[in-house]
Amino acid sequence: MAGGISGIRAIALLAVYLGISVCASTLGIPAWLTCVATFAALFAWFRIWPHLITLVVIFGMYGLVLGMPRPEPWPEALRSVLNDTSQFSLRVLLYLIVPMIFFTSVVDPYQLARDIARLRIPGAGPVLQLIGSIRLAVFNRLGEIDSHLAVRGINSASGVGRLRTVGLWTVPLLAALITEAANRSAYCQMLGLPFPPTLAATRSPVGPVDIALFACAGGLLLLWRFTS
Amino acid sequence: MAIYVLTSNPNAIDFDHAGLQRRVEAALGVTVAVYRPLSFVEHSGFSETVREEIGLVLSNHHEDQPPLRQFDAFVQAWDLGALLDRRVLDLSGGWRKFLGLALFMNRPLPARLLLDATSHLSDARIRTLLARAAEQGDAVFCEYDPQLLLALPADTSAPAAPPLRRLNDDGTTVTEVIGSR
Repeated sequence: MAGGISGIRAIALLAVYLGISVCASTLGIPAWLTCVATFAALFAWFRIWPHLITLVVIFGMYGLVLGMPRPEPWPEALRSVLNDTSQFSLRVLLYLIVPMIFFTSVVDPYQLARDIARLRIPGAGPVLQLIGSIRLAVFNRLGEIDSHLAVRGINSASGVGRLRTVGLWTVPLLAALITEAANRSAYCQMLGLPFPPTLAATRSPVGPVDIALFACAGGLLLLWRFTS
Repeated sequence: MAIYVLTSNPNAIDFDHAGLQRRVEAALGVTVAVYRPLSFVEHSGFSETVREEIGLVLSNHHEDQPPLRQFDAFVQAWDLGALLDRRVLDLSGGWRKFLGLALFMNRPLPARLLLDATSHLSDARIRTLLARAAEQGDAVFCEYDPQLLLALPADTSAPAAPPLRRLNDDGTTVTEVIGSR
């Protein structure tokens, strides 16, 4: 699939993750450890390394806090934070942020929008489609800005170059995205489209991999049900 | 049905397109629909591939304004067959503009004013655009450099390009150049 996995595949993966998590919990493995291990494997399988940086930045904030002088040693502090059961602990953040970053990185936003359009929720499909297209628009504009900088002898496309030239590409990128958003409705009207237009609703393809994943999730849930 | 090339102050394309539209409407005596490039927008944003973009636009035409050509005829008439499964954002700037122009020209309109329509297009694409423009209603092309359009080289292997009539805009009225018919 061109833009990533379908919404059905995402739900199947989520079901497998939940199955693994509940089965592991009966063996005494904490849920946060299952979450980290499962999503580490998924990030590696789908090779979406750039999005790990986002996670490092988010959880690095906790690292900074943990780095501050405190009475207990660092490993104990980490353990206490992870076992914290207060309302918005690091664990809650972990369960929300890690799957969210993973699924927004791998799900095909276009197919997801088509799936949502089938539910006939007013405006939901087009809005999702538009959000999905922003992701592509960012990479597209960034590529164009990189080309403009490259002909001037500035390398902004590599990892270090991207950080070093942050002042050169952020302003044109934001300006382009804001202008594009402002002009989008006028463009649609020019082509005779209502805004937002009605999307074509097509069913997500369900392949043998999806069926196997759902079966695996079902098996894990049954295993948990009869062993706990 | 006629194709006009309008010579005007180039700044009017960017800063006075509404006034230009009024003057063209007064000269032709009909309402014109305007095509103009909109900065950083080259497709609807609601589709991924060229096939989806065409399907989306054709299926969203108002019931009272059915498209001039349906999907297959449209793709054939505008030579878009080879691009159908490509992402719109992966096309070159010229092809993206051509796709938008083709979809605009597929609307059933009595007259059109096309501002800066031919820049970034190859001669072959401009010939296709002129040929389709000659099929329905009046079309007025207003370019930054109209001489390039008027001096478009002929393609000996293709049917002759439709004749181009000339209009002049002096900032207050649009009039046909004497002897351009």
